[in-house]
Amino acid sequence: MGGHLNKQKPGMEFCLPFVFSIGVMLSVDTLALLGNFLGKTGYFGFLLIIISAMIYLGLLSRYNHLFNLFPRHSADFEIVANVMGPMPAFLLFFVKIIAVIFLSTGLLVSSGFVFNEVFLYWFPNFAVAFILLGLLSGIQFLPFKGKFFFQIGFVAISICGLLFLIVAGIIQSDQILTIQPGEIDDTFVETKLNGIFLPLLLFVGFDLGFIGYNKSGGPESLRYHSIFFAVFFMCILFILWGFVSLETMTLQKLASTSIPHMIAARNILGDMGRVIMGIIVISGSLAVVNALFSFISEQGRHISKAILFPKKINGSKILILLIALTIAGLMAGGLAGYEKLETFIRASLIFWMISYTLVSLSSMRCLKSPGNKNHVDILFKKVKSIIFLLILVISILILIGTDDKSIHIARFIGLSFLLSLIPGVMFALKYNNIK
Amino acid sequence: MKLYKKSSIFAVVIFAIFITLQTSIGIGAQVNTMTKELLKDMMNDDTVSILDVRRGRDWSSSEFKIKGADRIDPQNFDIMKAKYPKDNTLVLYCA
Repeated sequence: MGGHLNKQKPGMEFCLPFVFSIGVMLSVDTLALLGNFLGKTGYFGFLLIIISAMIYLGLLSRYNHLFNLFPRHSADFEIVANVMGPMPAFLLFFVKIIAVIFLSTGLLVSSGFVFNEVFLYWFPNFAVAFILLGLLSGIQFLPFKGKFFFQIGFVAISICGLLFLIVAGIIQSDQILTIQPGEIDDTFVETKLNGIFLPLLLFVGFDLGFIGYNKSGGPESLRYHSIFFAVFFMCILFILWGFVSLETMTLQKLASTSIPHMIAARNILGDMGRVIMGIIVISGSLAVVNALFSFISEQGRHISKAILFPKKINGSKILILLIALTIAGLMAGGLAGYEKLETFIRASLIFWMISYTLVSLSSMRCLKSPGNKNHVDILFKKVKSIIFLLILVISILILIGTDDKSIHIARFIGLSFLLSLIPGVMFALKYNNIK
Repeated sequence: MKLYKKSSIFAVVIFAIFITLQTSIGIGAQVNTMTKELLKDMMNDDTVSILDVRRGRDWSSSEFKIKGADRIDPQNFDIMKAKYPKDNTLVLYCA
């Protein structure tokens, strides 16, 4: 059996893309962003969340188009390498490296604090962060099946916890709504452009659902439906959790606090709510980092062989080791204590969104397939693709332009892009020999 | 078997980094501390200023924030000097 998932039941084949796809969406940062966003918009924000989900479903159809054209490929960057060349394709891999470094540093440290405050106050929070990092790095040395089962566990705990709180919140909403909902924050008018596009960040990372599916032997359509369901499911979950949060907190509090999820949980079930939210935060962080690590260890083989190590060495495992040590170094260096980390994380996610435009462009290039000679159909699809690409580009520009730290974010993305050039050129030069 | 060995070795390496770090922090830590009960008694005193010196996620992830405490950048000592009278008792907390 080894690391392969051959002869899996159809349920497992459906489950695989689902659990990896929603990994990043379950992060505590996402819950905090959701709370702050709804604090500014109120119930109107639900519409914007739905629109964002629809944009991601449009993006998913671009992925589906490409994976149907190149069925034997397991990674999006392999397909983009074939369509647009290895240099731009490398960016699709590089953005995840940047994201895993900063996102993991923040999430693991946050998990440490939550463990410390909710469960054992005498246990050092940094010890928790390092133990979790060690555990997650250790998981990457297991066969893919091991990573998959751990991911199922992390995701299941987070989702069950959230659903439990949502149900409890809805049941008790009549009793706990003793506070006035409050007026919609005036500053939203000034920052409405930023507010409108923020929910796009809630769904970044859905493409991790493409990890390892080729090992399951399942049909391509099942993967598409699974990721489609993942985005749809998370959209519903965000709306339900948002509804419960809006019912239990004032808009001002929701918009201004750095822990809206924890306060909402406490308002719903008191201390028990805190404990459940503590479990959600820790298991959600584990799901995010495990999904990102799994992506790198599964799909970094080609890249590490091209850039870092001789072919005989299992480069993806060493890559994981290097990344884990970098995260350990950043945690030890106290990066989590710097306000800049939030900017780095926001910039990493926007940088990740920029990489989606490459997938969209690749899909546009592949519209003229030899089998399709219907010019009207091609023209229609082309116009649709251009409009979609424009929406994506404009959203990214507005996200950057209207952010409080727009200059820092632009600088971070620019520097990351420059940093990607050297390994990108090395990858491009050797790509034909290793693919 | 080999695989589990590798995983365990790696987990041990990460933990060893943490232990080394904690030890080095412990060696350098010689700060006067007070109990929360004592602080509670002092909170109504106008000459006592409570300063929250946590930054970044240390602060944003935390549920526990003392009401009325000022958030101060611990590296910017000049602000503390300028803002608080010389005779005031400054209580700094970071956890």
